[in-house]
Amino acid sequence: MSILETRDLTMTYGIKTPFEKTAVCGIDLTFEKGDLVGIIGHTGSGKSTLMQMLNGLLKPTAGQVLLDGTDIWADPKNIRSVRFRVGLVFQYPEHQLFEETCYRDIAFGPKNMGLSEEEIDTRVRVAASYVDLDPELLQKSPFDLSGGEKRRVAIAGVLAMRPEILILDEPTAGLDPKGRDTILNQIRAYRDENDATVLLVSHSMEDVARIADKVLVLDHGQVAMYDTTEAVFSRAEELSSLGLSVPAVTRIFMGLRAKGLPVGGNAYTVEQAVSALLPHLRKGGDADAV
Amino acid sequence: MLSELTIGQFFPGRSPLHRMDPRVKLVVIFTYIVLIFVPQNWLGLGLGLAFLLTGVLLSQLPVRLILRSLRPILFIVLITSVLNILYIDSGTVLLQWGWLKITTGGISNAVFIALRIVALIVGSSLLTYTTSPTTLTDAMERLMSPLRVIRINVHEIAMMMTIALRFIPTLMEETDKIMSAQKARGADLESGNLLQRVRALVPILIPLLVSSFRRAADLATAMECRCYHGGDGRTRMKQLHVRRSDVCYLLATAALLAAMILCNLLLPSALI
Amino acid sequence: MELLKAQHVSFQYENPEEQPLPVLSDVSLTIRRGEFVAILGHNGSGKSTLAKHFNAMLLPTGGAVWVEEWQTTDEAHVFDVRRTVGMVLQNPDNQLVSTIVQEDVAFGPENLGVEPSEIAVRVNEALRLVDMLPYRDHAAHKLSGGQKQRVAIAGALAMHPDCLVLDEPTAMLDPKGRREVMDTIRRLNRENGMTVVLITHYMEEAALADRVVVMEEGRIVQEGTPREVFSQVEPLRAVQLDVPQPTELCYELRRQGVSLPADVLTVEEAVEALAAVWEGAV
Repeated sequence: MSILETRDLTMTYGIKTPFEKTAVCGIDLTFEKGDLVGIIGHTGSGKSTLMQMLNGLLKPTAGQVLLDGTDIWADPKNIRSVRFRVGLVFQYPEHQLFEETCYRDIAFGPKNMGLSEEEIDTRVRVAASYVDLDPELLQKSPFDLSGGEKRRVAIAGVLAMRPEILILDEPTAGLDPKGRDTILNQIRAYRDENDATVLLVSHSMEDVARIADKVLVLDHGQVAMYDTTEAVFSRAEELSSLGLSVPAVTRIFMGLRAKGLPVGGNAYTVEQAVSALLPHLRKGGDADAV
Repeated sequence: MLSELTIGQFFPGRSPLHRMDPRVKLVVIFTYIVLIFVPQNWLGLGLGLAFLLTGVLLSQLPVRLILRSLRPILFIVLITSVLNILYIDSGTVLLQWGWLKITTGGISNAVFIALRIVALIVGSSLLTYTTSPTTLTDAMERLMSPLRVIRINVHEIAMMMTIALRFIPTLMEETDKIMSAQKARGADLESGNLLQRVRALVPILIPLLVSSFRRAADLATAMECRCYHGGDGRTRMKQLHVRRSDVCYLLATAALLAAMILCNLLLPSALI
Repeated sequence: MELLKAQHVSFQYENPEEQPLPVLSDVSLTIRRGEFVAILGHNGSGKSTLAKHFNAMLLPTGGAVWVEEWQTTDEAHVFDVRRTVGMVLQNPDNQLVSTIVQEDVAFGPENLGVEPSEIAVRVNEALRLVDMLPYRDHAAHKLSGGQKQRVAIAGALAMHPDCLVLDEPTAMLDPKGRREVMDTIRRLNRENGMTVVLITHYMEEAALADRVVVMEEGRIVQEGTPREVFSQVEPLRAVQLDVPQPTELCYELRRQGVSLPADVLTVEEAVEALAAVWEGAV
């Protein structure tokens, strides 16, 4: 059984007003345990509405979200426990920090879960280690940290709830390449160690190409593609026609094919491109040598 | 959602009311607000409502929009009406049930006061709907400029109002976002006793405060980059001119005031 | 002709308790009229601090900064400096002062005491240059991020600056907004001859400039055309910056012994170069 499933999931805002707008329209999706799914689409494609429906922050106007086979809205009183199992990290999460110390901020979620002091303590420390946060910083005020550190504290605040499903909205927005690489690696580590399902919403095709196993492309509130990363990036022309920028290496492969060169397979990272191209280019080197 | 509040929103347009000199508009509407409390009888109130109706027609705004401005105060209107109906005992008794008594006097009083509140809100929303916030603060700055004599920095007050108006929607959006984010961490904002609920606001208020300070610092930098140095030597893109039509509006308002006072003097009060 | 000049600039924040932290040390940089210069570096490299020196928001603790003939420490000319160097900041929400687009654009010229009729002309012209004229009467907070940033650019343009300094103007935008802002900046530079200094950590954006300056730990570590700078893959990696993927691909293939040019920058160039080697191989 899939850990998370949506059935005909629909969200319409402002029903029966002149501003009526369907943000998500009849989506059927399944997410398996351990999946790392990249979610891409334009602003307004329905990404953030979908995210907030998956953890019960928004109630769908039609359709269902099934967590472990149970409709999360079957008992609305239980919706808070759904939010602990489906952790959601918003964009610029550092803007929600509020406690006097990082420790207490990270402990906010676990405390709301009603856990014991010892359990909270373990969870805070483990979560801090996932995001490589210096234990010394735990007793500092989150407002004294650097931008990158603040973001890591905020992400740890969600990880401390040990969600089985972790959803992140643009966790790398505004970070420089160094900060971005750190966060992406930590997200992957959390998935690997907990066999958690991770949904990563991103505008960056390069980020998604680097860490996702599967890619979900949303367009106008509907699923345009949902497949393995390789299969999605192999439809580079379609992605371009949806106005999404494919990674530069993928475009290079498209260009080579347009020139009639039989490039085998597809590439969306530099490493893949090197190994796909090398045999063809080496032949030349070898032939010259002969 | 918080951001859906319509109070204080501006709807651009080119109607006579939009084009009225904002200083004149301010004077007219403030006079009107005072006026609406003057009438003691139906004729006086009718004059006020007719004046308001002229204003609504001059604004050329859809009626639906104007009605929407009433939504936030519907509750207050209802409560006052019910209280009036229940407590006022005069005229013919229409219904009696135990100590409860509904009389024609009560109903008439309730309707009178409800109409007054509605007229008040619609009148003031006409001002904000047809005047951009900056124009409004600009007009206030100019109207209050005599206060400079008593060392009140009118420009700074106006600037603060401009900035407040500019950032209200941004901060409302932000509040929405922070609330969702804390709910995602299990914050419970809906249950518990008063103390618990107040405490539950801390995770929302502190980030909001921090973000306001950050925005304020950014904005101050941006304003300095754009050579802001207070009101001295500053010019304004919009020049204000009192036109013939503006004089007419002022005269009409004065005439209305006179008429209402006359009504009060000549006719018996309808209020109990 | 020189427009901005930083001579041996160093800067540190006053910090009485601890050792003062140098943010800039011995930075010398000249920006010529009409140039498009990108300053690339990761967070904390000092690039934004340098930018704030160009319009006298910060004053150097050592060395000097000149804007045209004015030294930025000269208080009598601080408004001349800020009018000459228009600044656009990172957060699109926090730099618009007025609720209505055209009133916001008018803010700068109003502060400068420009004649009212002239302000109206400037506002229209500035909004036209950033393609936002149809939004003149719109509420600023309802615009998209890219549109807000373009209004912020118009606000700077309305002061009739000689130079625009943009401090990470796209960092908070989605890809569409980034494209809009970058197209606007390039057009202003190419078609209107506007001098542009773009602070960024996106190498794709820096690649569009005439000249790239790489900063690290408060110093300039590399300088040259994008082609010169980006073909140096190792030094860029050393300061933890990205290299354009086409350049990186060719660099990795070269390391495997494939003979490819070192200065490949764009997808098209990479396709040409790879196709040439491939066809030579068959």
